[in-house]
Amino acid sequence: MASIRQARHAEIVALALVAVSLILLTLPPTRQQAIARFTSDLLLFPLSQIRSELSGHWGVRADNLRLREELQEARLEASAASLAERRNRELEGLLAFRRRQPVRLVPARIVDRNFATLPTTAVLDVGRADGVEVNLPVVTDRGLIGKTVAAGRGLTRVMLYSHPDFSASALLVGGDHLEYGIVRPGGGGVLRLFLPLRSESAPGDRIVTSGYGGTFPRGIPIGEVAAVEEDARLGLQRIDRVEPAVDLGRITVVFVMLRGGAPDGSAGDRTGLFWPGYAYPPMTGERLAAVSAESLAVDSLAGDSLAGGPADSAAGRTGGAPPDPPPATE
Amino acid sequence: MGDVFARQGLERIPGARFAVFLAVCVLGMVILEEALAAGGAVPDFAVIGLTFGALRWSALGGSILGFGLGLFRDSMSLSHLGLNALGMTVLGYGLGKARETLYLTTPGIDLLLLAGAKLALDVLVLGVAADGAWRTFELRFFWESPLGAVVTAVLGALGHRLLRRR
Repeated sequence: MASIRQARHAEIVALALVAVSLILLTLPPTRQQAIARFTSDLLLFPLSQIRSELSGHWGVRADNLRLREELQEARLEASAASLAERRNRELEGLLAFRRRQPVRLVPARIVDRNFATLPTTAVLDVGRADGVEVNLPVVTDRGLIGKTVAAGRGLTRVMLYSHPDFSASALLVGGDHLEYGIVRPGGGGVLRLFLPLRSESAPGDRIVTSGYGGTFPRGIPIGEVAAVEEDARLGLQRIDRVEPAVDLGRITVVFVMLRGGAPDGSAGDRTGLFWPGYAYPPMTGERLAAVSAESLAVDSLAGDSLAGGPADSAAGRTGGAPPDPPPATE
Repeated sequence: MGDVFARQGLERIPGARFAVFLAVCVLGMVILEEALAAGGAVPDFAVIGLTFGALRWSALGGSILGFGLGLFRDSMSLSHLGLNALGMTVLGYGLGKARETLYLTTPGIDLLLLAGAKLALDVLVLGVAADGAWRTFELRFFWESPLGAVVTAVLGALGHRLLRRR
């Protein structure tokens, strides 16, 4: 009985509520909106505040994520653009460098290199078809990196200055004097300059190829003296640690310097080579002491390393460039 | 019949906890629906609250709860005042009435009731709101409503089962 009464009660209430709903529905829109606004202000205001806060928070989060993605993309684009710009500048520099040289430079890409701690050989994408032969200097716009040791039709192998068999006749340009010596890599590929015992050198002195030895013309930058190390073992020569002009880990484009640039067609002692920031003094400005017998003795022990070994080295030196003329009086 | 509800656990849930559940539904209606909407599937927290409220409090409680929730929702839209109130009152009454005949021990009945309630409410609300634009009604009812019904059913059933857990 109670449940029937309860059910009827529920029906009446439901019908009343339906009727109220219908009345509300039939009200004019303006009145509906007014009531809705009133109810909304009364009931929803606190919740609306929360909602707007949360919506704002979610909006900010979504914006943050979107902006992060955009920033990431922009960074990538900027990085690519910066890389392309740097590459472009490098190539422009190389082009300008090539134009300024009085000798023929064949541009080449390094297509392979051995990856020991320091690379010691590299393969270039040029060969005999481009006029490349063995024993030609390989340079960049910063300086010497090595020389060709084998030339195929389209590929050339280069012995880098870090190779244990590499050596080059070098000229140290001091403040007011010149010294002759030999540059060779020591242990771990560290480049060293071997000088006669009574030579003078100091950190920061620049080292270029001397032009003796037959392979490298005079004036190609090799590097700078990083530290002076006496040869404590024998006490016969002075050894300087060299900071190379070219970082072998970063090069991708190089030049092979062809023969025939000099008027006599030889590879050695070609004048007029130009490296930015690396002006080497004219030969007439050298001090006589620098070209001393001691210096020449060291030079004769090991000149530019040639494919054929020390015998070739000596031959190259004598057959390549003559010794410098006597200097003018200071 | 009382045993059936006892087995379902609806009447054994403490009133305070059930009130919290309803409050969460109201908050969800205001705050979460917009955020949880995905591809036309909008969970209907009002239907979730109404369904379980009506099943707990029978036809009388269901009608009153439906009217309150409907009016609350109407006041949020500023148009067709009374439409949701009407629909949800009828729904609340119907669910309350059905509790003794339909709400058995079937595990999936929560889902069916929630989905059915959502679809029934949408038919009424969308039909009236379309105001003759049947193309719009068709698009919304046949695309958004089924998805919304599924999401509502799943969310409601999960929420309620969490609520019943001791």
